[in-house]
Amino acid sequence: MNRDEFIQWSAKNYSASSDQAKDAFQEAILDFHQNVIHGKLTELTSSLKTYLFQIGKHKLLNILKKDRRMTYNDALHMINHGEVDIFMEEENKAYTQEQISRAIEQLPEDCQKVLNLFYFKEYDMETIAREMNYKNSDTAKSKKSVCMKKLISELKKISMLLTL
Amino acid sequence: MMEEIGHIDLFERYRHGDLNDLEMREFQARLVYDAEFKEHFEHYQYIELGIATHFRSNLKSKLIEFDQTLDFQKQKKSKSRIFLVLTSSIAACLIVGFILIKNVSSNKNADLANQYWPEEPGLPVKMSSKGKYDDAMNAYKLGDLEMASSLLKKIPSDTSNYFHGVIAFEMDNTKEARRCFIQIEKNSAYFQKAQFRLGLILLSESNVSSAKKIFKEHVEQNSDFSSVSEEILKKI
Repeated sequence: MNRDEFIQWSAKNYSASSDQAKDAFQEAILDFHQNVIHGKLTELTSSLKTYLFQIGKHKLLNILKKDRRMTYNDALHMINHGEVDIFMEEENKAYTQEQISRAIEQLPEDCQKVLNLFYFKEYDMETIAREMNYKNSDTAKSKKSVCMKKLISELKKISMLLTL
Repeated sequence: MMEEIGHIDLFERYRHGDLNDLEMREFQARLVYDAEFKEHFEHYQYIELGIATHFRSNLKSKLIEFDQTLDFQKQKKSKSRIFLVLTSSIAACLIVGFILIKNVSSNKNADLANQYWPEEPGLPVKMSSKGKYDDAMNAYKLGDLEMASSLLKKIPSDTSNYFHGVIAFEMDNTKEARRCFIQIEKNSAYFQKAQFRLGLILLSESNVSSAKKIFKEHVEQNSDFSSVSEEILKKI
């Protein structure tokens, strides 16, 4: 099985832990999935195993790099510099990723699906219309626009609750 | 910070490439001179990125779950394999142990039975007149046990059964010997001898409880075999 081989290979070549290797392999599968559905990958020039190992290797190197920078902050809470960067970035943003996720989960099922199809699966509006049984791409566009407004409205509610 | 809702339609049209040239130029210009508008657009882009991240995380969670199932199955498999190996080993040890113990104890019992098996001289053979057991007894005394056995088979009696049992035991046919001794009637002159030998046969077969019962009867009835039965009882 490719996953187990990758875990062994990562331990042997990069002294990576099983969790780090699993994480990297999951990321590699996600990238593979994304590349296929976005049409970026239509033909494999190597075996699937080689392809996954190549992506997995880069993912693993990033994870190892990130974990090596792990340190203690003043309050002795273990955080890593990558997270600090993200935290600093998020400080300047209106919402955190967690808030966005919570807001998405508050949306009606069809809105979640439309946003998933557009932003994650990167489908065009015609495909979304077909997938969702909408009249045409304009209907899909306006539906997506409504969903974005609902999402921002949910985010507003969540951030207001936090400031109260 | 929430004014981006007001711009959402514009952002959406920009996102889908629905702005005409003029609108597009205005949009791009506004991003340069209107800091607030630029900030709202950046928030909008950040939310878009957050949506993609959310669905990617959802898929990753499913992968993690699947990974955990795989690990659990592997663990379960290896655990059940260890359990199987362990139980098989224990079972094998128990069986081997049981066979060894049984063999050792049955060998011990068989040795004891052989040790106390009385030598049977056979019936006296007269030179003057010929008795019905003479040929069988001659064969027995000459060690031709098969001949003696076949001759005795032709004579239906307790005497014949007794000697036939003795010969069968000496020929290692304990089952036949047991059958012969059991057939001997209580009122027969050979009953006590036959019962004692039956006790020894049962002992050699490791049927200790039945053997003990017979030896105890000899002791209680103070038979000719009472002292030797007592001796055997102490050893088993």
